[in-house]
Amino acid sequence: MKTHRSFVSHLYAALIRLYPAAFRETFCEDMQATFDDALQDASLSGWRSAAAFVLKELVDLPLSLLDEHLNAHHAIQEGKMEKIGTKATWRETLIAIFPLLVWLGGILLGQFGGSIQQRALLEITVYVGIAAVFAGGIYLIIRTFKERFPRWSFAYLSWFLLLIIILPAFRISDTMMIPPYTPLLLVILILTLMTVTRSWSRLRQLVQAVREDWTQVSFSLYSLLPFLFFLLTDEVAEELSFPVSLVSLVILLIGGIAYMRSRRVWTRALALLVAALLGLTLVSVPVNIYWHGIAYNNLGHLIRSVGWLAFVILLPGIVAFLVRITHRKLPSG
Amino acid sequence: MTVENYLPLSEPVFYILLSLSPEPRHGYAIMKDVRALSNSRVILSTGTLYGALKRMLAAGWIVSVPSVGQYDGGRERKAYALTHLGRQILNTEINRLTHLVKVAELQQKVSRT
Repeated sequence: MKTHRSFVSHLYAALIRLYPAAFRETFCEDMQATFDDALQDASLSGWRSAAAFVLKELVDLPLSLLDEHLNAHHAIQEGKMEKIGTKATWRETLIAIFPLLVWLGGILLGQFGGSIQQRALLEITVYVGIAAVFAGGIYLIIRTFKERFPRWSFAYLSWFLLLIIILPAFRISDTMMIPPYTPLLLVILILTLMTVTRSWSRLRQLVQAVREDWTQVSFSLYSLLPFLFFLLTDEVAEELSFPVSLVSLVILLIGGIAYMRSRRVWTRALALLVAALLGLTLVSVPVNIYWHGIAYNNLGHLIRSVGWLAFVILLPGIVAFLVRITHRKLPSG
Repeated sequence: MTVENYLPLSEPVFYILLSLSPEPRHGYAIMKDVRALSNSRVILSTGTLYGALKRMLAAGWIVSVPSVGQYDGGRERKAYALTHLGRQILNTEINRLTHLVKVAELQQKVSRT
């Protein structure tokens, strides 16, 4: 009897895999548990009761499957345009390019804020700014989880990861350093929080969001470009680096807006690619002048740099393409 | 949209809401309760039950809550609880059915006399 029950349970487990993915992920584990409990109870009343239960389940299952597939199809038809084909609202666009705007504000403050550097007010402003960034960061993390990883949130995900990694480089005061193991502690804290709040399914939502539009990962990398440009021009004299940094940031801002307001994947990728490559080309001018005295001493080096950046921006697309090919091959292979 | 727009409820949906009215329950408990409440007239299959639960979750009539003490191979089983809207809909449907019964009884009394 036990073997028989186990076989029926396995059969049911195989059949409920035929439900649409979204339904399966939410309900199938509980459905299996409910089926097993009901079958066990029915078996206690004899094999006829168990057989009647299994028969009813097997008769109802095709109807339920059909119903759920039709519902899923309608939901996709209704939601398709919203999910992939719509451009972001201006509000979402503003949130997405906010890190670039902050960077732009930082450059302008660095250039024109020299006269107020001596004022005590500046220190207070910096602390208020740091507090605002933390509060804003927490708010955005909550919004990101609630809205299931919208496109604008990818501009912050990369910054969030970068900040965790470089946290030990900061110091609280002259005597207080941030311990080097802080990133590891933060990762453990996040994993614990995810386990306690049972948020692991959110990671599946993140993967789903990336699978729907790979350019979101490119946008995440793109949002870090001001940091890369800053590192490149760090040693260059301000007279040289300031105007170029400003213009390249404006180009990145325009690219970010074009990306958020685009409907198609290829136009989104193109917006990021053109702005990123143009920005890097511009930034390389003062860097070359500083190191070699002329704007372009080595065209091959510039082409290699631009090529690498293009590869990094398009890498998520290449990975998505390879995953798609692999998945296509699996059923026949 | 008023609560009346959702009425009348189908029999399985009515019994599921009724089953959840005293306390949150997990899937199999709902299944057994619906059978008992309907004197074995409404026997839900697992597919029908979870299809209905899915629609009620989407409509905001019920919410999923962790089922305290219900462990299945180390995994906590999901339970479902009525929301304020779900309870409002159930109460309105009960009032509607009560009114129907009262009217029918009154009509029968009149026709007898």
